[in-house]
Order: sequence, then structure tokens, then C-alpha cells
Amino acid sequence: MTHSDDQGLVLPPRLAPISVAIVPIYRKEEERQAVLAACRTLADAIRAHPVGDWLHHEPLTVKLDDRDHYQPGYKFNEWETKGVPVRVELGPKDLANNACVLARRDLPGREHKVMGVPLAAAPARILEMLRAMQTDMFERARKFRDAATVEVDSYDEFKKLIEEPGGFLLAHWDGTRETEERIAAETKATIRCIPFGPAKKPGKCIVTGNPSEGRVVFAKAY
Amino acid sequence: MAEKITSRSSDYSQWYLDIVKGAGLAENSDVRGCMVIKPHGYALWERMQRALDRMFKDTGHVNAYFPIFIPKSFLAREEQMAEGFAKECAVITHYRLKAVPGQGLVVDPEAKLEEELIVRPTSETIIWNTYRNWIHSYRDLPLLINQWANVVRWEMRTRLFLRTAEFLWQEGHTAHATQEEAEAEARQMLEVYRTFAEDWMAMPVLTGPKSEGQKFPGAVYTLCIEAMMQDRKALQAGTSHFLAESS
Repeated sequence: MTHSDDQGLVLPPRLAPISVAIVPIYRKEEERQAVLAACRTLADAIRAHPVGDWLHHEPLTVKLDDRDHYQPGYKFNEWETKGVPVRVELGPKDLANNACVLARRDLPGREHKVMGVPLAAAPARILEMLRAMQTDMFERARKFRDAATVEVDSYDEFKKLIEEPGGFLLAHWDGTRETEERIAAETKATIRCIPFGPAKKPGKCIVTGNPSEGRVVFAKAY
Repeated sequence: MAEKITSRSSDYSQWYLDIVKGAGLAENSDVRGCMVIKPHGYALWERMQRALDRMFKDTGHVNAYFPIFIPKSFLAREEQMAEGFAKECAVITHYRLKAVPGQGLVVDPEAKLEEELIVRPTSETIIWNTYRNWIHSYRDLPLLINQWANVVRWEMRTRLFLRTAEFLWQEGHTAHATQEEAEAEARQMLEVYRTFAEDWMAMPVLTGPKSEGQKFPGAVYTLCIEAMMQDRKALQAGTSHFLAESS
């Protein structure tokens, strides 16, 4: 629920059960054989590529989608919905150039596809992509959260903001259960945590005006 | 597979359910409130489990397994904890069925348990009762044990993965010679959860103690990691508790 989009699941590469899905593209039987052979070689090369501690020394997992009864477009959609981080496309034209096409799940659209990646360089390139995707996903989620985290100094403003747009509201609270329960009853927001971090600055409770040791995090929660 | 996923902007809850279904993660089962975790969802769980388990082992913990059933009297002793979970406990009262002509299988009234058993909502009581026999002096400490298990909380309103009657989790229960060491452990495990959430799940979290009103029943204090979902609502993603002295 942190990363997924309207196309389906988006999984962080370090936890994705399948790291890479290879979709072969062919029409004629002789194309099929040559393309599948190249895909198998590439799949083995990706599995053999050293990953190090990034995956606790486990290999990358590769799914070669060699099902004959589905079209490539259907396969793209399926792996996209399942959140596989990197997709490899390999067809006769790519094979003629000893290359393949790479697509990152979190960067949809044709413009983000990486064309003409030499097959020999593909495993290293894929690992690089996976690592970048892991970092980018975290940064994107952090920016989203930070943008939806605001300091609030009046209860009226609090009530308005918690409805729309919602998010984490940093507000002063007098430390009593009564005030916490009143806020929960009136706004459905609860105290999520009393955050560790920068030194606490004292202030006045937004509800009672009594002294507060520092801001706490309010939000509606699951 | 070809089914359209509802967009986040039009209906966030439906979007979430469409994703879980479309990606083949889980589905509702024939048992109310319980889900079937499908192969893709379970493979994801296995990955999470492997990464976390290694982090537990690297910080000196070992795994063990305790019973799924807890005698009711164990819970009654821990009043605060019992109060917190009483409303959602599954209770076992009988241990046998019998075939009655015309009625099929019925619960055998003769097979009533003398003491009811509770299906664990969490394992503090059973584990600490066991530790009593394991800890004779400070020389037996620290005990650093983790359990991977299923637990049951009879929730009335359920939602796949977020709230189901039965769910998979891990619970670490550690015993220490000093309060200082126990508190350092609670902080250390919070840090393990934070690292897992941020470095593996790519999910930023806030860390800190819960308020009195939100803490785990029976804990002196509860530390937590809190994440924000795309609808800007908070999700508690892990907790670590300091329980003080066990009597």
C-alpha cells in the first residue's frame, strides 16, 4: 500500500519473490527456438550474477515466461500486476543485435524502457536497476510522507486538516488520556507515536492549552 | 488477470482489494474473517521472514515454538493483558465430536474440557510460564527467543492482510538480568524493525513510544514504527515492548 499503483502491485526489489521476468517475443517457429535459447542463456547468467549481501547472498530469481498460449502483451500485464521489479523483452530484432530491452516496474511507460542493452552486460545492468529502484522507492515514499506531515497549532485547523487532506499532524498535547480520548472521539485521529528525533520543544496543548512537553504525531490509522 | 484495477483516486479501499486479488496475493476463505494466502503472497512472506530472521539471528536470538493453546487460567492471572484481548478470544470448550444418527456430527457433551483453552492471541503468558522453569538465576540470562507463529484475534471487521482473524507474525520474548539491559533490547529490536521496514520494504517509518492510551496492555511502555499509506492514513508496522519485572 506504500508503493503500488493503478497498474497493480509494486514490490521493493529486495523482497520481490521474482526479481526479473523475461518475456520472449516471436512469431515463427524458427524465431521461437532462437529467442528461447537466448532467453535461457540470459536467465542463467542473471541467476549466476553475484549479488552479495544486498540479498543476504541469495541469487536473483528469474522467471522465463515461455508459455505459448499467451501473447507478450498479456504477459507484460501479468508481471506488471504481480509487481515483478524488472521485465526483460527479447525478440528476433534484439537477438540480431545481441541485445535486449529492460523495463522497471516503478517507471511505467515506453519512455522509461532501456533499449539495446547488450546481453553480456544485462545481468550487471539489471542488478544496478534493482538497486536504484529500491532506493528510489524509499525516497519517493519518504517525500510523500514528509509532504503530508504538518505542524498544527489550533484545534480548529487540526479538525479541518485531519479530514482533508489527512496525513500526520504534529501537535502539542497535554499528556492526558482524557484529551487523547476527546480528540479520538471528535476527529477519529489517534496518537501514533511520541516521535524520537530532534530535541522536544515545549508548547501548549491544542485542546486544553495546558503545557505540553513536545509535539506528538496524530493521524487516522488502519 | 484481465480484470481492471480500480484507480486509487476513485476508490482507495477497492483499489487495495483489487491489487491483492489481481496480484494473486490472497483471497477470502470459506471461513469468515480468515484468508487464504496464495503462492505469490506466501512467497513474499517467505522473503520477508528470511530477511528478518537473519537480522534476529545476527543480534543473538534463537527460534523456538510454544503451544497454540493457552489455559484460560494463565490469561486470567495477567489481568491487564486479559482485559485487552478478552473481547476477541477464540475459546475451546470441547475436544471431541460424535456421530448421532439423523443429526450427523455433533459436539460430544461428554467431552467438555475441565478448563477451557484459549487460542493464542499473543504468547506472553504461555512463554513466561515456561521461562519460570528455565530461569533459576542470573546465570541463565539473558534468554533471547523468537517465535514464528500464527495467532488468532476474533475481529468483527476484517480486511485482507491488515486485519484477519488468524494471521502470521513473529514475537520475540526476552528475559534479562537488569532493567537497563531489557530496555536496551527493546530499543535494539525497534531498530531492527526500522531497518527492515526502510532498507528492505523501502517504507519510511517514524519511531517512538506510544502514549499510555495506545500502548500494549500490560507493558510499561511500547515502542513502535509507524508508516504512512498512500491515502495518508497511518499503519502501525511493528512494536517492541518493555514489560518490566515478571512475577
